[in-house]
Amino acid sequence: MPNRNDDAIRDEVTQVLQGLLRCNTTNPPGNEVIAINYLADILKREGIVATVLESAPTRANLVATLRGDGSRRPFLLMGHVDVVPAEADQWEHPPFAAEMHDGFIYGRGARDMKNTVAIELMVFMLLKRNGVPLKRDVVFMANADEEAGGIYGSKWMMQNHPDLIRAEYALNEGGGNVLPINGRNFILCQTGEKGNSRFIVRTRGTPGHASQPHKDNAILHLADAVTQLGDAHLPIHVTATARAFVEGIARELGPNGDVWLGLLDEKTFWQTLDALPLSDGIKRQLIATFTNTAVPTILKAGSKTNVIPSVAEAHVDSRKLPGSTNASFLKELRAVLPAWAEIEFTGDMPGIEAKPDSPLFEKIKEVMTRYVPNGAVVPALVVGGTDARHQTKLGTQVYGFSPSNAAPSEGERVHAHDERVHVDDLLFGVKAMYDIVAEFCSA
Amino acid sequence: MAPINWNSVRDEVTSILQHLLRFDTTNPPGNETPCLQWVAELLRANAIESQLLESAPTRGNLVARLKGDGSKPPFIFMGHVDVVPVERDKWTHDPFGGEISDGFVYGRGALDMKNIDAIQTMVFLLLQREGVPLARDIIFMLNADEETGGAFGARWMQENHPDLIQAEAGITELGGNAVEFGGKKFFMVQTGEKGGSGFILRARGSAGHASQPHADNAVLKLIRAIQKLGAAERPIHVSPTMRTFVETIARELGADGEVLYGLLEDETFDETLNALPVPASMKKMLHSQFHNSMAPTVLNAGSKINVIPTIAECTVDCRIVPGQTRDDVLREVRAAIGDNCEIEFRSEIVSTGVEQASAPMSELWRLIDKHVRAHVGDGVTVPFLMTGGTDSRFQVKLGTQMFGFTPALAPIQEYDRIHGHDERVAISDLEFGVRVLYDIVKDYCAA
Repeated sequence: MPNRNDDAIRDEVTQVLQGLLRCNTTNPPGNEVIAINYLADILKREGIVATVLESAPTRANLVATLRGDGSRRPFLLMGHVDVVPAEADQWEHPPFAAEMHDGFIYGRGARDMKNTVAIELMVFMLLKRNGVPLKRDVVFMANADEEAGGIYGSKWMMQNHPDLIRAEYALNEGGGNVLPINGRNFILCQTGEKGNSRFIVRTRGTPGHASQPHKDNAILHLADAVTQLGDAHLPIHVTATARAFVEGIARELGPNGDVWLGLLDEKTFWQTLDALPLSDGIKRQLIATFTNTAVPTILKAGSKTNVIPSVAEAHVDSRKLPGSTNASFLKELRAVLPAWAEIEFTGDMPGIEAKPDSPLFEKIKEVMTRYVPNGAVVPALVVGGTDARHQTKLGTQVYGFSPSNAAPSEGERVHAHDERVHVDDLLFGVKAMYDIVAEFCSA
Repeated sequence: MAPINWNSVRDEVTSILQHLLRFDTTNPPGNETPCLQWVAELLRANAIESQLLESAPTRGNLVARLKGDGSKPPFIFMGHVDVVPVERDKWTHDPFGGEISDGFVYGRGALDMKNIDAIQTMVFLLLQREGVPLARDIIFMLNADEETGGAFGARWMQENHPDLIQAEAGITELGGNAVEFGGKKFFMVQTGEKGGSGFILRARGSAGHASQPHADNAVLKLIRAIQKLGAAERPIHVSPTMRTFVETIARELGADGEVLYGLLEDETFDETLNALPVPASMKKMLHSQFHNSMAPTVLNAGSKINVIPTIAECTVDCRIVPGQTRDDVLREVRAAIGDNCEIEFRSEIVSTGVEQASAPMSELWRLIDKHVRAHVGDGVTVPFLMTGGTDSRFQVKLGTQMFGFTPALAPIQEYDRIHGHDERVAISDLEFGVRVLYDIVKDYCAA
């Protein structure tokens, strides 16, 4: 990267981030306009005109574009500037002060995801400063409201200003971190997100006075049904992401990796999983990567101690894989639940998946091999949702990739207390992302 | 003295019931006073003075007394005039209209227990009108608040005005209907009540985001415990009352009755009960009479769909056989569900059951049996255990031997309407009740 030394870049991205962290964009209410105006001012000083679009008073989104020669379709750097609430009294360092201690910058959003917004902005400005000859337009978008679903942010932009943000590829939050397995550093690149298919299991029985119990008790029926759901292994689905993930790990681990391939077959999945030397936490993530999940979280029945109710309900949080539909999932549930248990879907958001073998993915692999010794990029499915699901509707292949060499444990501070990012990690992110975007968009 | 004109008695008791039903005494809030003021007026019109005692505004209790010569201790009639709420749209008759249709009087309370209040009022009036010389005082008490526990009714009277209601024996609601075995009618007399020992099953687990399931989900732990509790075979407990119930019926039926002894043994209870030629509602009652019943009734866990909660709870209604304790319940639950859940007893509702094992030896019992046989050719009385609680539990604290006995010929299925829709009573049963009770009380109390 010509014209800049590492120290100067580190200082600049650090300042950008500190300014962002000091804007309290806790959502609700959001009030993202203060952070968006802050970003627009930085771009203005850089000679870049940004468009600020308010979906509602104080709920602002920003778009800026570096023009390419038009021979290739646009490339999008996207991120959100709202954050989840912080319990300030539980923090050692105030959540909106951006204090620096031992090289770490502390603040709500330091990893989710103002760090990535600062990195993306830095990359965007460096592309201009360095006069990189672009074949693609490079678009920078900062959104409101991701943490509450995107209605005032990415979803609103997709619905109201699609022409400003149409792109072939995008980088977003959700990956870029390192997962050590058997001494190898696997770098996860998010290529897919699960959707949801929340549902209610409802059972009915005969009401009656509790002093003379009968077997036709809705609560007992619910217990029978949900026990079966809890005991069941739902069917294995091998998405393109999951297959590439497993094959990537198996290939990198050499002969030790062959056992991983058992995850790709329903008949051998569960015994393979049992045998893998992984923590329970990682095993659960793997199960969630290969199955639609169904987790009962709410129980409702009855109101009077001495009255047997006629209806009982379990509300089930369910995440379906890309490729699954509520109709296909219903068949899986019907195979597990007794016929008398009613199933009512209350959610239906499809999962999304970008190609785990696209030219951009190959470029990410190539660049990261230079940055992480002993590292290998593998695609990953995340079990939560991001703004990617809105952008995907415009035909964009969205990859969750914010390069980081932080320890995996740093991720536990996301949505928790004393969220922080190290300034060296910011620099690492800028350098790696710059190479990916500059090389991919100028080729 | 002219013989009693039973046609006019039938009309009069029917009219009394209709009046009572037209007072909406749904509890909560109760508002029993206006209903009792009407009864007081009726008594006054028959030259009987009564006292109306309010435990709180609108929560009245009424006491009246026919004096005896004092050679024997008093007898008490007791009843409650409050009723449980109605789902009005599910009724085909006005629940507070006292409507008559096809020989039935419809209304909330027609079986629980304004019918009995009306019958007792009628018997009380007849004894007065007939001028029967009495050895015992006859006390007549109508209470507020039975349906929500008696704090403003029988319990308040027992605690605040015991002198007004001290009695040796008494008759109140429940019992009196007949179950048929082998062509014989067995009239059930309530001589005991189960206790309450409700508890909460509580599972604890780890918090978490539902997108990443983990193995320590409180909801699933609780659900598995309930499933096991529902599937468990729990032991029977034979109270003296129910032993007498079984043995009396078996003895009356001779060889055909042998099979009933199967109800007294754990190994044979279920198959014996299943094979009995009685309605399902009767089997349900018998099952509860021989077990510490456990019915999960309220589930509560979680509030956000994507958050795995750390606590999940199920309220279990539990009625214990007299003699059983909280420790016995704990042992049975633990045996069924293991150690995965906490069990918290709700101390405020724990009560031991009560029973009078010696009831069938008493004088009043013998008179009940005698007059049942006199009115119904092959009728036999048997003691039974009430599966819920009534106001009897307060009155027995005053040393009164209480019998739940309202003679009726209605088929047992009619009693499914209690607390349900279109509650009703046959006019013929009102007359039958007055006839039988009049004879019993007159026989028991006359000088």
